[in-house]
Amino acid sequence: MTHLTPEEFVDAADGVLDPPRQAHLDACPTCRREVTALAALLREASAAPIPEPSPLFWEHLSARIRRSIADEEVPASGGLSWWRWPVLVPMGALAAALLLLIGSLPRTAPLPSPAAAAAAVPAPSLAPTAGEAGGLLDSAPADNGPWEVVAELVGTLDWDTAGAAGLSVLPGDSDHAALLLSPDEQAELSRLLRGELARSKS
Amino acid sequence: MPYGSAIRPWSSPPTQAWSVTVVAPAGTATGDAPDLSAADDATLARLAAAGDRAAFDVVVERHRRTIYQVCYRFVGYHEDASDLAQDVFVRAWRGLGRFKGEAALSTWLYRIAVNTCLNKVGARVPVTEPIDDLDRFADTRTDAPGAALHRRERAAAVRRAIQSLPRKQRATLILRAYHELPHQEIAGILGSSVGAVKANFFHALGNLKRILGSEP
Repeated sequence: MTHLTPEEFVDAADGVLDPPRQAHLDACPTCRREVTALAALLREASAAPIPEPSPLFWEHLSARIRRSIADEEVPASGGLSWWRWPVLVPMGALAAALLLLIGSLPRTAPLPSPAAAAAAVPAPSLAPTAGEAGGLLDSAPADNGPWEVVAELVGTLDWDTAGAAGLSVLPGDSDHAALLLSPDEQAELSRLLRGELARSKS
Repeated sequence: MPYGSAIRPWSSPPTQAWSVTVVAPAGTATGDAPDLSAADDATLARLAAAGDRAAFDVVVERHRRTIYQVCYRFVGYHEDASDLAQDVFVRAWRGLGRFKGEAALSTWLYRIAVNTCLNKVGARVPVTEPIDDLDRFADTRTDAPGAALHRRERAAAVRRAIQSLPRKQRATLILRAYHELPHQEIAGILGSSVGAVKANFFHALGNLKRILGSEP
């Protein structure tokens, strides 16, 4: 039978070697010598103390740390819970990409009248601009069904999250999103967003 | 069998450490402030991540000795170790928003400490400890003078040898031999496999033996 591997030597020094290999160790003077030397070296290394600082050092260290972070911002940056980020960051990034893409398209159709926008559903939490988006999306014709996923994504973002994700929304961007893309373009973007949403939730 | 209950034939009795209880002077009580000292690490981390600096104070108080010791084993010098320990906790404060709670807070702090030490001391030449530092803290009341001196010199040689190990071997040896972390936890801290941790540990000991054998 072969000698112990490095991992098995460590297991042997820890006293947790598998029984079949322990049988080899019991019968092999070479491996036994190695394990004995390893254990002795570990004992010696473990017994090497480090100087214990003054009892006053610990409070001094705490005070230094306290001073160091006194001017630091609150770590959670805006009070977001950590568990929301894995979902919200990719969603925010996608929404940002979508809005930037749409914002860069030439305007070819007239926007609805202010009265029509004002009659729409109240704004979601993103921002006034996104509120307009929500209203327009909600009031869009039934054949704009794929845009519901966009409305869902944008509507669940709060301003802090959007800002942290790099969203920069200009007035009119969401109008473009609702009105200017062709049905095929809307369907494709909707498909991409749904896929990303499913992936980030999994 | 849980790892912690395994008998480790090589382990030695713990060395005596200072134990100080700091009692707040009368009149410094914070009224209705909650008693954070009884809170578990997960609760403290959550509170601190929401900006509760008092909760983070408790985290620091609870883990500062361990973190300082990790740093000292890396650098071998009190001033550097205290600077590194401070850096570790500042980084922890900044990173609390990213602490997912999947690992224990102590494991997360170990990870920050090891990364901080590896980044800052990787290329540094090991220091030679001033002998005064060791004399100041050693308990020599029951030793014959010659034996005590020999033991201190040998301990200093071991520390120097550890500081000259390759970085991952050094980290593995420190976490395993001095903090008695399970290989699995060390693997999580170092971002490697359990097999790699064991192999690193084995080679660290081999190098330690070689270095100590070449000492005068």
